[in-house]
Amino acid sequence: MHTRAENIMKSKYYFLILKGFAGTLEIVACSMIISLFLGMLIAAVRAHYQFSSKLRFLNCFAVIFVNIIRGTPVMLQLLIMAYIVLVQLKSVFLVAVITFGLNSSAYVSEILRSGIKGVPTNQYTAGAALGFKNTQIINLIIFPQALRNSLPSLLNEFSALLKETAIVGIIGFTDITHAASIIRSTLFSPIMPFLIVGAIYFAISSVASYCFEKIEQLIATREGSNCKKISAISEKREEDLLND
Amino acid sequence: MIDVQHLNKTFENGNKVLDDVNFKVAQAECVVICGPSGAGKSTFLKCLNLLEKPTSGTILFDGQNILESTCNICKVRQKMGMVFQQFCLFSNLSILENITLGPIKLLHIPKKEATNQAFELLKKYGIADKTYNYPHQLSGGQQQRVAIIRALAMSPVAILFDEPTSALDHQMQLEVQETILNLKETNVTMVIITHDPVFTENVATRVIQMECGRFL
Repeated sequence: MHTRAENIMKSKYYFLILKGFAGTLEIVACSMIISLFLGMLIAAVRAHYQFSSKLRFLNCFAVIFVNIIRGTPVMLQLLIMAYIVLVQLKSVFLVAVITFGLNSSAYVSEILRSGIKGVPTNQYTAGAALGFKNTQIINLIIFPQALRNSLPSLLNEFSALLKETAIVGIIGFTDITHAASIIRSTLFSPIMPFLIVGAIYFAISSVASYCFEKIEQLIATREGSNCKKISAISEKREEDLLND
Repeated sequence: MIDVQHLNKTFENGNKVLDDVNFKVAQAECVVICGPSGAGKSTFLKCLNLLEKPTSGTILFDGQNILESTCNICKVRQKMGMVFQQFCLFSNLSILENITLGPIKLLHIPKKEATNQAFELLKKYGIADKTYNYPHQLSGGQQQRVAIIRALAMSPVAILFDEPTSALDHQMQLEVQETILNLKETNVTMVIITHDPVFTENVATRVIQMECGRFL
């Protein structure tokens, strides 16, 4: 006689969990791309306004958007998108990706904005004194520094996004949580499916954390005290460049 | 080179910091502006490249009124470098990248050429060993020299110095002063704000005293 865990692993439920796992990863990956792109765009608009008082209308629109997203629950946003705004859209996957992408972009933009605020104003002044235009200063000088400042918070946001997608089952998309819920209702046993799904979420979060930590370490090493190593790498790079 | 006429600057709070300032600098001249804190020296310097917008007056740079709306101020700033009291190096870029960013992105000089030029300047001013370091790994004097080299890499016709040695200890002040003295050979026009009488004596071709927003 099989145990419940063996039942899950050996039966079709195994494939359901795999399908849900793939669905979760797809939603998170696509939402992350949208949120990063849109979040950077919103942050750029707000930074432009902060430094040059230009793009007043766009900045106003961005502020309203961010406040609405931050002021309402993500589940409500998902329901509104699925049953009102994007009701014509047949793909629940697209509805989920757009909703989570828009939701996360508001938070990403705020994270980047605080990163921009953390960049000393003299960096902007120095860029302007060299003859850079506003857009160039923001893109070449301010944004890279803001991105570096924001990296830990961005990791936190993407970790939160992964867990927020667990509600996507309410519009009928089979993510990993929804898959576990289906198995629970079929086997009349909640423990094993939810434990497995919990472990999978934990594993994904841990891998993501590890990757982000490595990126942070890479940046710290690049700018850190290990000058000889940096010099050796950089010298080689410059030699290659000069030999081209 | 630079001709300032009837320049006024009043801040939004009604504080008038520049009061009908008239000022001329010829090519290759090195003018030092002295005066007590709050006299308006830094504001005046920032007005010269429009980092601060004057309330009224004219600023002619190479015969062009830079306060006209048709004037491309970014192009003017490329020709008129500026060195700050707090160095203001880009903290996320290496020294080499700090120096080559402007020439590559603004003057569209090929990266290889800009890199070679940066190497030569770093060697000339004695900090070639710091080429691949980051600003926070350098002493104040070294950072200020990099800031001067960064301005020089843009091949400017004039450089504005806003108290370049104030944030440095005596030894570092000497290093920076030596760098600025070397610059005199390059025929670059310089306008310098400083409180150091010895430095003023060594470097200045003309000294102007400023008080309460006016030149004396």
